[in-house]
Amino acid sequence: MRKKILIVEDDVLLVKAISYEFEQENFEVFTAGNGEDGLAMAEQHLPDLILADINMPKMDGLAMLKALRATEWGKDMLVIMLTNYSDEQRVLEALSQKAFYYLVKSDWDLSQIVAKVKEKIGQ
Amino acid sequence: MPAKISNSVPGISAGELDKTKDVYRSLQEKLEYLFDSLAREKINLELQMIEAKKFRLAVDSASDNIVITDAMGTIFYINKATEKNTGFTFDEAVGKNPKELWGGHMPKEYYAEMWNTIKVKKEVFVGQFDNVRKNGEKYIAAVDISSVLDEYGEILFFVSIERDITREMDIERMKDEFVGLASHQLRTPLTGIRWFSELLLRNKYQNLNEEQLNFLEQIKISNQRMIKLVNELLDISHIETGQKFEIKKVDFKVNDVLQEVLTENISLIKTKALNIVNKIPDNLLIFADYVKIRQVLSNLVSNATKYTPETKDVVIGALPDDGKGFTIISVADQGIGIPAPQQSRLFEKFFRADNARIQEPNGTGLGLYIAREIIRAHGGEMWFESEENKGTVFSFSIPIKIN
Repeated sequence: MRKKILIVEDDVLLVKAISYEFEQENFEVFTAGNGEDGLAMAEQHLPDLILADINMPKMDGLAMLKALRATEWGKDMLVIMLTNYSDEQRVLEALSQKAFYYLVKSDWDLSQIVAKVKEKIGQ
Repeated sequence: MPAKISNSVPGISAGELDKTKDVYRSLQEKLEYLFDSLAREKINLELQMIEAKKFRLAVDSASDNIVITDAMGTIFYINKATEKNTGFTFDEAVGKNPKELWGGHMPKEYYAEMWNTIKVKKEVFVGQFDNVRKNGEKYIAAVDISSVLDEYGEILFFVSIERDITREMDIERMKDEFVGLASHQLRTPLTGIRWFSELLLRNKYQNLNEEQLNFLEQIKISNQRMIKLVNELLDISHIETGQKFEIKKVDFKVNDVLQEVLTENISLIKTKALNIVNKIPDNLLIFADYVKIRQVLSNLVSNATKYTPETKDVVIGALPDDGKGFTIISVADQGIGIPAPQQSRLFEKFFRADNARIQEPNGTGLGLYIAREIIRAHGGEMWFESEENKGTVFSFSIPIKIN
């Protein structure tokens, strides 16, 4: 069984790069452009891990995370927050909602992100 | 002038007359002398009056607020700028304490410290006050208060010079917010460049020639430089807006983070055949923020490798325990050193020493400033010793793991 990854990110170009990388690494990739769609996709596909941006239209990543934790199926789902902020307040909020990791996108290579995900869920 | 005395007076002998004449003459001389000195004194006083008027005029029309109070803090003079700035007239202010007028809005401890400085220590107090004008508008004043003492060291009065810096502070804050916002916005396109050039560089299909790969490598290097600059600007805007670094302390081995940093710099170390000597004990654990300490060590190690000539040494060492719960970590190089006249400015924001600028034109001068702020946010301190053309030792203190 291929591992399932859900990428929730509103920047189309970044989604393109990161989903290309995960597909190359043999993951099954789902994408959503905002928190609302991300939540729906998560319920539908029950991914092994979610990579979620913080700053997004409609529903932002933190609100999505909060909503996810309030569901039976999503309360223990693995989530890494992708962010452009090193804004500590948001990071702490995400970590308090059991996001197990956060990373500032521009500081990471794609290969490093994949390595981090594999370290958590295997392949 | 005294009256002339006649030479012949009936009934008085010539001898007596001469005597009286002498008395009168001497009296006349004394009076003339007294008259002259009074005239001189008058001129002197007039000159002093003119001087005093000049001083009064200068103080009156100075652009900063000048307030003079007695030893109890009761105002006996304010200049025109104070009237204009606070809205209180001279007559309204005289006889009152500033706290009844524009002041009194700071915490009690702040005023206590001010009084202690000017009244007990009799030193100059330099501070910043949140004040309120007569019309209720708030303003921020940068204030210097000095005590004027008499010949016995007793306080005669206090002179306070204040400048309204509300607008400057607003502009400063807007500038920092702008830098913060712009840097965040820059991160998304920078991420795009990073990730897509990474995908291309991996070149799984071998369809790029060597020259094209080299161009891509250049894009990646430029991209990394921009990311570093943006990160530094964000750190600065964090520091300047007074948001302290949020320090997430954990226990970790200094050597773990050092290995990561050395790997990061491995290509330059190899190219220059530098001799890296790591004297840090393997069991040395510190209690600090991993990511931030990595940033500090990364800055010191990359500076050391950059400025040390080929085949020379870079020594990283530690004084495990200074007895106060801190360890002192140092990075010593045999590099170009810092010219003595410029050493005092090294931790200034954007400052770069002349010799460093010549060798490495692309630095920002932000790294060390940020590094020291990070160490200070941990309760530690950072310092250095340097000799030009011999080398530099950077050291910092950082809390060790508490057992």
